[in-house]
Amino acid sequence: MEENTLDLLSSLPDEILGRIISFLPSESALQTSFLSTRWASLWNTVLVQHGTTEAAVTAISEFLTHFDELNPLRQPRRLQYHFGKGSANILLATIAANNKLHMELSTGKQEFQKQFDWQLGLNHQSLTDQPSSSSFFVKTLFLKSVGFQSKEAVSSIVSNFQFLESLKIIECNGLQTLEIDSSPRLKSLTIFDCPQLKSLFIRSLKLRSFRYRGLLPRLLTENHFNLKDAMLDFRQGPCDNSFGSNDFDPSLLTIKNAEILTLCKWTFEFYRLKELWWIDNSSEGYNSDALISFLKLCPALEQLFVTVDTKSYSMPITTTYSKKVARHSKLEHLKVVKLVGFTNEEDELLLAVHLTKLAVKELLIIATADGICLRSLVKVHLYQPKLNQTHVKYTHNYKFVEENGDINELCVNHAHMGL
Amino acid sequence: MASSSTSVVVSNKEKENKNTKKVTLKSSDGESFEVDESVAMESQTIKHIIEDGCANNEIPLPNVTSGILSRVIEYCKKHKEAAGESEPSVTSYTSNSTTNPLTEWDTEFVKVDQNTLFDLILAANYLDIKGLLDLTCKTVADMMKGKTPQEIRETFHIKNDYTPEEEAEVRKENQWAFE
Repeated sequence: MEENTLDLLSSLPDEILGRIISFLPSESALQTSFLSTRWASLWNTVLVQHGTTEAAVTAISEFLTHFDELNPLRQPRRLQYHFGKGSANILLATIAANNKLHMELSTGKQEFQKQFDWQLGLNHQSLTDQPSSSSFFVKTLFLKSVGFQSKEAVSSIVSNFQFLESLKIIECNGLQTLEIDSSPRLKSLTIFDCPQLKSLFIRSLKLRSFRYRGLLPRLLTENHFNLKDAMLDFRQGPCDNSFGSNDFDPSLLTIKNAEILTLCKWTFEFYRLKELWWIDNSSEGYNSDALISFLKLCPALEQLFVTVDTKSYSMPITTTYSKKVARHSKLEHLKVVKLVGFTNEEDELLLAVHLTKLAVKELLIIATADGICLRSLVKVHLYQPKLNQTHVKYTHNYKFVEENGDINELCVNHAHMGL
Repeated sequence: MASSSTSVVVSNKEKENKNTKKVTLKSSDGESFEVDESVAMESQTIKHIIEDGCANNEIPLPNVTSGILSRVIEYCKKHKEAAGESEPSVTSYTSNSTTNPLTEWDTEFVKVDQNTLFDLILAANYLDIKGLLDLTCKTVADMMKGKTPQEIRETFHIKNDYTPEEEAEVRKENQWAFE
């Protein structure tokens, strides 16, 4: 029996490979581009067109209409549209499965990006309209590097997408103020890495997910929306030094019921707070944990007043708990902890042990400095001979040991990591 | 004038069909296969040759070996038969119903080694037999489904000619499509 070691598959003609791929589920079809460069070239045919700024809308519409989701290689999934003065502006539109569209703008020469304001009006079409099943419609849109020369064209194109549910705006240099005039269908908004953004005005009714990474801008939100997923990665600091204006406060309300969160400590510090009155409830014995934690966010506090009012409302506890009041309130549901980037191993170990004691369930704690080398916390059983009667006290009997297991098996990353 | 005796390959069903015109197909390695014209016309390529009046003696098929050609003929015969039966209880032979006996036959038909499978694909493409091409392509797709790119490479001996940098670049470029 002759062993077949030839790659017969890749040597089949393009149309046949296209036909094979059309039988794959659309989400994984694109993964074939990772097989080898020959497979990648199947996916990289680009349709090149030139036109006016005004005609961009039509060009995109037609491009989307021709795309065949069931046979994704039949038509190019990429359109390169040249427009504007001297055809210097290039819009590269790429389609992906599950109604995704990626649009990246560029100008021929590396010009200084002029600062600009952008009012992006989305489609207010009524919710009762349903997309026709035959044509391709955009549900998720990625906009990259929109500049002052391309914003008009992009605005017109975007206003046509009446079934848009998710919008992601990334790396728009020069974008100074952004006003998003939303539709009731928009559920998810992401804004990453727009370095000049100073002011963000969001009008939305049903936003469920908001993700932001960059300097903290002035945030104005009309209509309070209740977020399920909020990523507030403001680790770069405020965009101007007059942070502390009241404009940020409404946003705090929007994240209170979130299920998935990313937060930076500095945004929650009450750094001007001098005088605080804390009204607490105590059911059976007072537990000061919440107050102590909060006080750690009040570096300037001068006067503290604490009132324990047994009639004060307290959130109903959904899980049953022992009648005996624990000295430290427990984290009933905590299962997994991942510590990243601690430079001091002692600090890392102390926090890990502390969390272990706070948790009720058996806790899996993973630590990593570089994201590649993983260590997990294990209990160390030390057998010590009984030297004398006095019990030798150990500060901790835990340590981190290196894990050789597959990172994915050990610990899933937070939903916002790796974006 | 040679008497055309009733061929032994005529099935009971085909007794009704008086028109048992035959054609001869010649493989690349010189073997000849005599088949009913209706069976041969499952192939659009052969159909056009016959309709253009170019099929006098034999139709040479230089791209198909005898081993593959005999299998292709087997496929065409089976599917022509099934179409000919057309009983109301028999659903369309292109349906994916697993209770359909033709589907079971098809599944067995493609249980072959990779060499043969790819030769069948190329033959079905050259001969333009849509059903066979779809069947064989779908078989390959099923071998790829659910596998990681590395697993697919191993199954089909695909060489990964990406440099690590190139591979990282491609993944990064396409990350949005998988989010």
